[in-house]
Amino acid sequence: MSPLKEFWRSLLDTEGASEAGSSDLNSPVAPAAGEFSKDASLLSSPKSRRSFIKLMGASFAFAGLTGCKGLRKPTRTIRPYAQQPESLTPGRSNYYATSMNVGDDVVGLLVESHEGRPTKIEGNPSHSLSLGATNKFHQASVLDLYDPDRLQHVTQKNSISTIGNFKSWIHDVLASNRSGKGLSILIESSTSPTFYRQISQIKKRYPASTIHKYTPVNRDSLYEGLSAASGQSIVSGHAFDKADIIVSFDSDFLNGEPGNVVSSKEFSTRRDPDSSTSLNRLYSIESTFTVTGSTADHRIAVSSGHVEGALWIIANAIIKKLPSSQVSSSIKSLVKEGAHKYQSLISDDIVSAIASDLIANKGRSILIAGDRQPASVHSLIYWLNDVLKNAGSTVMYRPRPLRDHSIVTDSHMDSITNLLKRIHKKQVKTLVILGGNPAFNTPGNLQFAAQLSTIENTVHVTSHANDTTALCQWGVPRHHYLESWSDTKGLDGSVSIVQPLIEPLYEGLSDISALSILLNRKRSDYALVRQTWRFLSPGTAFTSSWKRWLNTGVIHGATPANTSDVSQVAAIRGAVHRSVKRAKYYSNFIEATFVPDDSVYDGRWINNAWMQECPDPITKLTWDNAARVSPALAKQYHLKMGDIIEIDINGKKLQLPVYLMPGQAKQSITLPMGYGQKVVGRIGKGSGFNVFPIQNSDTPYRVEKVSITKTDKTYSLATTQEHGDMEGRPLYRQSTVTEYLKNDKVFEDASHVPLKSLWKEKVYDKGYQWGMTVDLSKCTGCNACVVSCQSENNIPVVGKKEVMNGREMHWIRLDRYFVGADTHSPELVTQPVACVHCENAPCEQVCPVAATTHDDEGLNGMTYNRCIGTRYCANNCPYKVRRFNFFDWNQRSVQSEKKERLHFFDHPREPAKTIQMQHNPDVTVRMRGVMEKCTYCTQRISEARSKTANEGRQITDSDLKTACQQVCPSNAIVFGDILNKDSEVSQKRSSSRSYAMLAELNIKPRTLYLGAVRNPNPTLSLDHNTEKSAHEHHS
Amino acid sequence: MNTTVDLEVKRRPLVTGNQTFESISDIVCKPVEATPPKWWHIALLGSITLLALLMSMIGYLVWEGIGVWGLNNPVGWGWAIVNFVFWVGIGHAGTLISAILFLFRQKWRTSINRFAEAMTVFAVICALVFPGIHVGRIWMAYFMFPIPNSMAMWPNFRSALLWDVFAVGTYFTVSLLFWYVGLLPDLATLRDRAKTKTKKIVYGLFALGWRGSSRQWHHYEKAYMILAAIATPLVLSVHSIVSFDFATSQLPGWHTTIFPPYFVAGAVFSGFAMVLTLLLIARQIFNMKELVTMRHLENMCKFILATGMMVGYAYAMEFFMAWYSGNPYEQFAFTNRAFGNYAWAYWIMVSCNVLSPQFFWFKRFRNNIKLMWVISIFVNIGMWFERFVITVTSLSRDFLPSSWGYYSPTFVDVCTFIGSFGLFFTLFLLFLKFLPMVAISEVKGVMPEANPHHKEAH
Repeated sequence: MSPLKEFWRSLLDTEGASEAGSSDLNSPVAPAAGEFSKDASLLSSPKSRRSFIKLMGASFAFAGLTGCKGLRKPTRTIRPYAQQPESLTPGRSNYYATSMNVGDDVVGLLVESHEGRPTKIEGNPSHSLSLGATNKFHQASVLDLYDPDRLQHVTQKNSISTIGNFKSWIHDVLASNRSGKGLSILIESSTSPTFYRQISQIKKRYPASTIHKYTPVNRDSLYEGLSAASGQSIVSGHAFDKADIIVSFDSDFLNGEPGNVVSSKEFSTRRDPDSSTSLNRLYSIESTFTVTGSTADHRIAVSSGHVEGALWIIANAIIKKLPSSQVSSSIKSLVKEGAHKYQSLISDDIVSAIASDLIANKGRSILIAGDRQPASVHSLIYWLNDVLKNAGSTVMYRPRPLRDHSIVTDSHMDSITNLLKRIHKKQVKTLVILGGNPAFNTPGNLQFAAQLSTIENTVHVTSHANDTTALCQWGVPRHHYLESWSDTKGLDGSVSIVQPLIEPLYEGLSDISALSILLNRKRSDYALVRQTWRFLSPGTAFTSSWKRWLNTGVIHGATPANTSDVSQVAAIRGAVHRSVKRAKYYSNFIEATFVPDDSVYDGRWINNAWMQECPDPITKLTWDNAARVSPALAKQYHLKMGDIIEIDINGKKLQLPVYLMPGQAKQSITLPMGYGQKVVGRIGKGSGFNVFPIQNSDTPYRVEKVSITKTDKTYSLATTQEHGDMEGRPLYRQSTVTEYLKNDKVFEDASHVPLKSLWKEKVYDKGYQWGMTVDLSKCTGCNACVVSCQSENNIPVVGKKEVMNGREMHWIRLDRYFVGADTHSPELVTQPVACVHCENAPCEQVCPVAATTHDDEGLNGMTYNRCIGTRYCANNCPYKVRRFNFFDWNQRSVQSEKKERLHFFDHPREPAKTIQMQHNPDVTVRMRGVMEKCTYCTQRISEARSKTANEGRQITDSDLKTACQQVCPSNAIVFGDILNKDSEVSQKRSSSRSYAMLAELNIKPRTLYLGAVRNPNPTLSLDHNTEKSAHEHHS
Repeated sequence: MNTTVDLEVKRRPLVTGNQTFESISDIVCKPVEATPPKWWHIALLGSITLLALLMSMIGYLVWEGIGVWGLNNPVGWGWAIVNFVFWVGIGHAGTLISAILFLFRQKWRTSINRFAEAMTVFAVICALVFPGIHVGRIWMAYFMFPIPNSMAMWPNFRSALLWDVFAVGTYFTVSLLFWYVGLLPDLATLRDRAKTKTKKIVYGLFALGWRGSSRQWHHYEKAYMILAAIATPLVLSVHSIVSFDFATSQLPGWHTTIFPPYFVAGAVFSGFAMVLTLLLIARQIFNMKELVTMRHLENMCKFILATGMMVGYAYAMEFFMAWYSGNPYEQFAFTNRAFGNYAWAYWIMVSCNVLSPQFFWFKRFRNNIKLMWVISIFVNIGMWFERFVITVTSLSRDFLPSSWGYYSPTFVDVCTFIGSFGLFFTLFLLFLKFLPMVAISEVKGVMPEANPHHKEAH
């Protein structure tokens, strides 16, 4: 081809001619005709009188039909902007930076907005706690904004009122009481500096008022342990990318605990055996399977109450191997005593393996304890990290964000107990509750709900009417974070702005404006937030600084330095001492632990349909919680999956179904919180069982001496996966790093016959060829991709009954398998599976109407308009990734509403107007009777294609990310052009770890998996991952 | 004794009881001409009730969506497809008995062929209901047909489901024509015997002006033979192609080359069983023991035994091939069939289809009407389960254990199937009332009197 021809072709390409078909420049067709493909026939036949009359006749006939109004859909007009807003092109989305917090966990976000509607949440790459990723909750938060069950009006004693009425009422109440005597405010964990600035104002204005806080999932014991050990109010941060050895004591740092997004990001950089950095090794000691535990190289299941014992044993082994000059002898003897009490808890092999690993990797290891472990554990961990020289290199201590505000450093449980004491003494006349749901999620022994109803004036500022709202005099709608101005301070001290993307949908208040009302000040939230940060950039520079901050989503210059750590040995000794003295090997007791649910957390996502239907990463349970019991305990009590048991804790009883959980510590029952709310929207109604009534405020995360009895009742649990055994099939492939380094062919499956095709196969060697790799070494199974895909692709929710029917619609699912014969200590592996876009796709061959076909870029496309729903494709899909719309899920959703106008042969309901606002306009909303499946986010490919075509260049990795890839906190999913040698995906594909699942069918999937490489300690065989059969030993 | 001529070996007579041409016409036309008995009215009422059930279930399905059935993600095809294959299978014996036996000059067929052909046509009508309604968007089902359109969009000719549309459509058309052409002389008989004007006109209309002239008989015989010749390969092709729906997929348990012959044998097996079930009743009710003799029944039993053994052989071969292939998915699929969570269905199938026909090895049982009827019912049940086992068991547990699921039908599935019997029996009862259920002209043709040299020997 001559260079000239090449040049012209390229120019035409940029004008979009290439999309209209191949245009041959040598052809006599005028350049303008290039608008149409050369195959397209132009309307060239001359108009004859006959054809004119024919046309007019038909037009009249059809005009007559328009009289049948019932047959026609109503006319809807689309109006253009009279004044086009700047930077808004209809049809093109904009992104705005904001941030969100769940408890103390702050993540910076970029939110996609379509014509003023936020539709999709992405991570903010500039934010140090996101690095471009989010977790599932952030993804789901956008649905909460549009939840039609949100509190939509100010209510007074359950009748509709206005915000004006509320304001005048509260001012009347406060006017009579200048000092604020009898005024109490109950807040949730907030991370907003502006909010706390307002709180200080309140304290100044109403000196007699009291501020309290409560969140059921909190880090009280971590902070207590750290401050005991260091004498400062600090928080730990971990550099998982620098750690070679990580020992987790009941910590779910990759999924459940604050900082999980960035932890996963950093952790995953050390799980790639093909990269230059060596693999880390994770030991996990925990009572129930967590995402972190399933990722671990060695997992030891012990009761939550024994984790401390395991820590003593390991600490003792470390101390023994260290020169005695390095360790304080006072702690030494205590640890020895503690270790002795638990001496046969875990096998000596694994203890010495962990100890030697930690000592060999001094300064390059991390010990981390879960938030629900007692303070003494955190103190000892602090000390051990110090002894092992990790502090300062892999474990950083920073001042606790906002620690200058006393309310921040108060413990949640103390704070709420104080409030209750005040209520009991009738010292509280007016209680303003900002968010939360304390009437539901406080421990049962506190009797919060009963106390609440004794208060004269109660106000609940809340997004949804819940159990607390029902008991309060006033219910005031609380703005969603996408509707309000605020700011957040993350655990690493980074500060970002919470920027609204939409006017509040309903009249209401944000937390900050609620405080402004109490202060009787009129300044807007926006002005208050700006005022908070004005000091960083005083004078005229502020405006431009503010713009920059808004743009990047991060306020620069606000991040503080790390603190130097000071081990207060005496304090640590004191804490450990008390703990060791108390300690007892509870071999005969059954313990119950209270954990935040993976879907509804502490109950705050109860009315979020995406979260409710998101299968738990471990149990695959949807729409409910269940007590997780070990198979051993189940055997002892003759329990089957779904049997209802009665749990008795000191006379407080609770009935709930059981889930038989392989890998659960034998004597430990796990109770996920947040379900079973009484006053709740339509999604949350009737889902799950409330475990808070049997929770105790003294030990909120764990109780001992639990007795259980089996009842005759059973309960239907909806799981998305019933079979957890891989049946010896080479689906999920894993190996160890030693084996892999020895033989990089270890992931190949040579057992099948040579692959030969009956027909000549199409060759995909031109243009873009899309492909994906999923790195099983990195994937933790955190579910972020599942929810992200749901949000991006308008995937409907089907409800519990239909999940039980096996009709869930998720385009990407996480297959979970148990490995190992022993039900007590199996391994748990997770494999994300979506449509793999086979080049030789079995679905395409069987579709009788050619509704699913291949395009030139290797996408296996679905033409919804053409699909008649024979389901033949789904039958023939070996991966079973196709999803059929058995009903019109949008119309049948419990949140759907009656259509304004009914049409002939039309369903009477449609999705709620607000839910429709969440829908991504780039993706078709599917009707009933059609098949759907992962499209590789074809809308994003199109967008990238047109964008890069306008810029006259090829699509590169940075232009295009699928929704699952973008959100993945572990960078496990890589997508791109497989023909482009520079693309990350083609490099990943060339890894010797890459394999095609079910390659033996010769279907040539475009999604390849990279085999999981684990890094077990070579001195241990894998079956050591067990609490040494201590129970038999002791009982 | 005259020893100069060979003694003609006398065949057993096909019609017994000293019948004459006239008595044959009388016997066959009697149910058509007489006022239908009470049982007929009751039966028709029952059938129409079931038909109404079918219609309401279909209405409900179209209104609500496929979700009213028990289908789920691994199991995309359930009772609808099972019923389809079941009815198509039943629709096999008719054309087989008629066309193939006709071509092989098996004259004993004459007394049962009309009956069997009617059954074929009605069974195929029942079968055709299911692929029509099992799609998600019924109003778009016409996309399956190669209708020229402005998008130049054709169906996918690689899809076995499309071949199915053509195969079953062709089979239905040819079967209907074959049946109708065979009916012509008898329709004329009814016309000639009709006593009311309406009957005369209606039968006359459908008799297409048949006068029984030699020339017409000549054309008729030719046409009938040609149709028989066209229908015969169709008997083999239609169920082969139905089996391609499964065989051309890659699902373990479906992806099997044994399917075409196995399905055809199964279809003939079930078809004969269904003919037997119905014929035994009709024979009793209409007192036609002299036309449908024990010999006919015995022949049918032998057919059932033979095809049942073929089916049994296929079951065994599937297991052998699964083992011999060394393909772990295939091996699992078959182990799962026999011992998995649908094992109950598998063993019902084996006992009904393989064990129960074994009685027919013995003449004693081949002459026992009651036992024959019971076994024919068992075979019907067994053959329904065969399709269930193939369709559902294979789908419920395929390649990825993560997707495995269990399928159970809903009341809509069950009622639709029951309702399809309503459609079948409604059509059948109407047939019994308005058309001659035995081919009058053909039965006369096999009587000794039809032989031009009939009286010469005496």
